Amino acid sequence: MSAGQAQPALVCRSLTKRFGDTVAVDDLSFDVRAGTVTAFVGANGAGKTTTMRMLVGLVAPTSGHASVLGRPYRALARPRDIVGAMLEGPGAHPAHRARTHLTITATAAGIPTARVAEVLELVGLADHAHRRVGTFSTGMRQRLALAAALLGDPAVLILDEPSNGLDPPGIAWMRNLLRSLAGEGRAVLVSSHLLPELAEVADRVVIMDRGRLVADAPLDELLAGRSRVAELRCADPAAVVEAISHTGLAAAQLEGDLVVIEGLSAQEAGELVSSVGAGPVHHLVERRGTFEDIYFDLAATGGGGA
Amino acid sequence: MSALLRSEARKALATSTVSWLLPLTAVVGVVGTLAPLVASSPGTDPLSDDGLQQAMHGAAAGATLVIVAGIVGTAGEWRFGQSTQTFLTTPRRSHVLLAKGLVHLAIGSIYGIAAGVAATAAAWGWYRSNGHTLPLERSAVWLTLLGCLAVSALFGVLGVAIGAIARSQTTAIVGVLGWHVLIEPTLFTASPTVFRWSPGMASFALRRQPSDDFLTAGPAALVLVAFIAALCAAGLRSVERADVTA
Repeated sequence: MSAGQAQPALVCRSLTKRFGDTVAVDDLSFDVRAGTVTAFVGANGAGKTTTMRMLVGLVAPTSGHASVLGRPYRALARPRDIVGAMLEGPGAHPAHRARTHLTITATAAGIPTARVAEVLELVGLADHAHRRVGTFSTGMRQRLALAAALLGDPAVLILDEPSNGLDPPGIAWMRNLLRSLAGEGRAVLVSSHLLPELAEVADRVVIMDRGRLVADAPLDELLAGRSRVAELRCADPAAVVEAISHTGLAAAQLEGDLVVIEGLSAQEAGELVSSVGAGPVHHLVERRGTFEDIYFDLAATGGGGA
Repeated sequence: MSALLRSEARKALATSTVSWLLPLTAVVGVVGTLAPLVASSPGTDPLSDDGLQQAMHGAAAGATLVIVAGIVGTAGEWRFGQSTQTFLTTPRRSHVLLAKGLVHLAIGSIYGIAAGVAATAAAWGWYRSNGHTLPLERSAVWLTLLGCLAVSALFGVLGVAIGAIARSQTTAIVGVLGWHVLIEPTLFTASPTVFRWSPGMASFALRRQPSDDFLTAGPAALVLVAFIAALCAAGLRSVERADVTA
């Protein structure tokens, strides 16, 4: 099952896809390694899904190439044993029962049908195995899609917005599952718009904007580059802002009566208020930049479509 | 390939359309057999070769529904996003189409047998009620039934090819029905010498519908097989090149 450490589990090199005049993916390169969760983020239409479909041979690149464990997906003899992909729903006939749908897939893939019951249990659908897929809620359809991805116990997982439609317990379940899958040595590439959720599980981040790569780095590295932010309310906020503008060590702005100081810790901000006699302090907190801050800074269209 | 065949067979049998088209094909076959017998003029000899063929070729009257089943089995994959799962499992798309073709060849054969048995039973009853015995041993009967079976089986593959080309279930079904029921007969009426080479008219000839304007059964079979082979090649090319985006 393990993808191994020697080579990247997934490789995109100069991947480009044009649909007519539209460039959906533009010269994209990144790797996904075993034992890690790579968050794949971008606004709607950024090219994430098209990239994932190119990785598994469903969409042909206009140029560039994608490979799984060193080989193009379409050259894999038993791809379900190597890659589990969850792309926009379960891809099941609505009149088929959940068990039938998975049995059809398992049969074609040469996977023992006993595995069907195991994955249904794993995703929490064992009690709904005999229900028709057309009667499933969105969350149940997502779980069924994940069950199909896990059928072959693959070393590589490509999951496109797996938390869509899940309720809060379901989202927490998905978070734990992703952690445990990576912990078992699998390479996980996961896209989502739920950035705080991704921040909980991601080791590495790939950010796309309008088809182009704008960031590919470990999440810790990106977060470490963010300065601290202190927020405070005090008797004389204007005096605090003026004092900071004289120091040049930090940047401060006033949002109503809230002073937001980028570059100072809470302790440093408190000492500054005291030194300029702007107290007493009514409210003082310190926070670090978040994954969401990073995303909105890097992805130009992030504020619009996401 | 055997695993893929089993998977495709299960997929087809789990689709209700395939199940209810089977009895419908048999019912249409019975109607297609009885209608010319009931409507025949008093002077017609029902035991002549022409009379027997006129009755028994109706067993394949519902064979168009076999094309529909093939279309549903192929184009339907795109309708519900099943194509994504299918090609994730079997990236070699030619293998998928080959498996679908073989499965629908078998389904067409089953439909053909069911319709043939039902039509023969209905014809046997009509002949008996009119004081005759249906001469099953006569080649005019069994060659006609064999032709009906061949048409039904081949139409299964034809449906797969059309579904692969169109990849839209509704467009494909409307197009096939429009061509087979309206356009092709009209063209044949306008120019029999040209349009007897068309696939639908070749299928009528293969099932031995009496007409001086049709090809004989052998050339008709070759025309139909060649036409289906060409459509299969076009369907394969279409599916191989298609981006699966949903």
